[in-house]
Amino acid sequence: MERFQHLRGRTSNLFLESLLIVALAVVLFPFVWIFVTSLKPPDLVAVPDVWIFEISGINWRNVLLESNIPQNIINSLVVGVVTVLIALAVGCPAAYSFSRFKSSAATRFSILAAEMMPPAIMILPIFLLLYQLSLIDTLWGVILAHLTFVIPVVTWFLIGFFDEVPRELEDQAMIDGCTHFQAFYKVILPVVRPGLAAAAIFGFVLSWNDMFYALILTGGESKTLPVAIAGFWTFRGVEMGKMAVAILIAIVPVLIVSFFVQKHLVRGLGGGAVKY
Amino acid sequence: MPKITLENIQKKFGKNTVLDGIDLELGEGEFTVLVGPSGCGKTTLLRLIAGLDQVSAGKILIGDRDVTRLEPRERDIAMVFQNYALYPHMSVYENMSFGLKARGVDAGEVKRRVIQVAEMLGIEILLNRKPKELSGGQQQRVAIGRAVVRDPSLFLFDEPLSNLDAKLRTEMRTELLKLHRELHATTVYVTHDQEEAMSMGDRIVVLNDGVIQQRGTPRDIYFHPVNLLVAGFIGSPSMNMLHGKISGDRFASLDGAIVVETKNLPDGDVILGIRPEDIHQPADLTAEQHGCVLNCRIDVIELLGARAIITLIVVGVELRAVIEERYLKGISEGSDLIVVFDPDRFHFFDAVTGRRLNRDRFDEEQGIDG
Repeated sequence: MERFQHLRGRTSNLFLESLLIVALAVVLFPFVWIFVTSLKPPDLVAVPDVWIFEISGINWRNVLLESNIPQNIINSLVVGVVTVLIALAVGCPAAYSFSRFKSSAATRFSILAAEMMPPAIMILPIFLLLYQLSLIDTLWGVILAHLTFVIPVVTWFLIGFFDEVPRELEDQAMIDGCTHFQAFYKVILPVVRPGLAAAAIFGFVLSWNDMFYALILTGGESKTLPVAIAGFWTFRGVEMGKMAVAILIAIVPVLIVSFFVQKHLVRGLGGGAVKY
Repeated sequence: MPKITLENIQKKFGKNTVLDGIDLELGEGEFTVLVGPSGCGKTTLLRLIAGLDQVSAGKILIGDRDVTRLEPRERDIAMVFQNYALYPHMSVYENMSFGLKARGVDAGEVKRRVIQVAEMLGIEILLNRKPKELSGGQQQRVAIGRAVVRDPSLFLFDEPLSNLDAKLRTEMRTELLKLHRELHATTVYVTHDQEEAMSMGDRIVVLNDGVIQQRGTPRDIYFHPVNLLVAGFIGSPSMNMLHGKISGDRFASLDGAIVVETKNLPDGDVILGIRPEDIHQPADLTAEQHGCVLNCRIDVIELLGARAIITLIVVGVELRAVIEERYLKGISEGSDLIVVFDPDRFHFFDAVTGRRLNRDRFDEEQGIDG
């Protein structure tokens, strides 16, 4: 009987492991396929089932040296970094206030209200505003548009981290001679540093991945990377090899960084909600 | 070290009155313990003194300085919190020097004072460690060191020992007292532990429902509780309470189990309080002291070591008594036991108001007004 149970345990483990392998294969296959495609010679990229070929660096060379992609990467980086810096500067004090001064669950969730709406609702007013400000097709235009969703998300993300810091820490700092604001930046902010890092990365990824706003608000020099990737769909067809290279450049850094901060990411996504 | 004066302090949170008309004077260098059940307002009072919350009405004076509207940093106080509130990203040295640096004390002086206090508390080898690398007791010492190094006008302690285990708690209690004797600092100490209050305070203030019930020395509070609440809260195990009636200088409990003579007490419904420590074996008291002799049945015996708590049943009424271990020989649960009471140690309370009615020998010795 015992042996039977043992066997049954092993069988169910095997079953679970096989399921995991299948799931992993489904998730990872596109990455492998894109990577393989990026190394194919131009005449083979449109033939998906060819797996054995002579590796060619031509796609990489074309994208990195002979296209606008490097400029688009810089655009995306500038937009992402500036968006995150502004979002943190605004979101930190906001999240701290939501955490410290009594706020109901409804108030906290209202931060995410804008996220609940389809971005299409926001785009027309944003476009008109930026047009009035002559910011269409500028990086500042994209940054302002990205701030509309990065600030709420970063704020939401940080509330949970501030909630976990005992209130006595700032009380102590104020007794020790700090003003409330000094207590906030000298004591509380350093304590939530992991949260800040995770929020920054999360906000950066949101901005880096955005296609919708960037596609509508940029056209020329200010194109960001996702818009440029879409640009490989030309009137001559899809330039699959180059597209694969650009996609890899867009996703790999994000994947690597997310892997290292995943613990904090999960914590932050719970936001202030974990306390209820 | 200046004295602290609280004048008619009131604190409301919305419509809820947490503290109501607190008047208190804490003498220079005095160790005052605020004690009371959870939610009685003791921590709120401490936070008001610290300036972490604002009073709804009333005045707080440190010496002659009115600090009521001042920020915590302007009040020249130090506080030790229940969870120690050590800055987790700073080393012990940085934690201890933070307050001095924030006040602009020069670096050489900061170093000298931190090292001096660290040596006094035996934590000098921990100065480079982070708080998470310390044990609970060490963290406690650092928190105290951080307060002491500032040399403030007033020390505030908010249940600082309640996160420690029993053994360490007793050790730290003694250390805190030694430190107080050395520094003679005016101190306000909040605890819900009446034993801690009794053993540490020069003066105890018993709070309940935001009102001061009684203030006095530990002896006053223990031997002369002014009402049922204080009587029930101070002392462990808590005082036995027997409902009864006084008529014609004679108290009889409702069940008739206890009948004693009384002097100068008004007729009416009363509650008789007897401390478990005041229930004796006949051999402990002289014959004149045997005010009341009772034959009881032993229900439960809880041995604590040198002493035991025994639960006695007299005509359906439960009494708890504390007796020395040597009396346990020959008795067991279910057997009978004769106990005697010293009527001078009886506490009579009005059954309606809960106010104390009697003056006893101790009150007269101490010159306490009834």
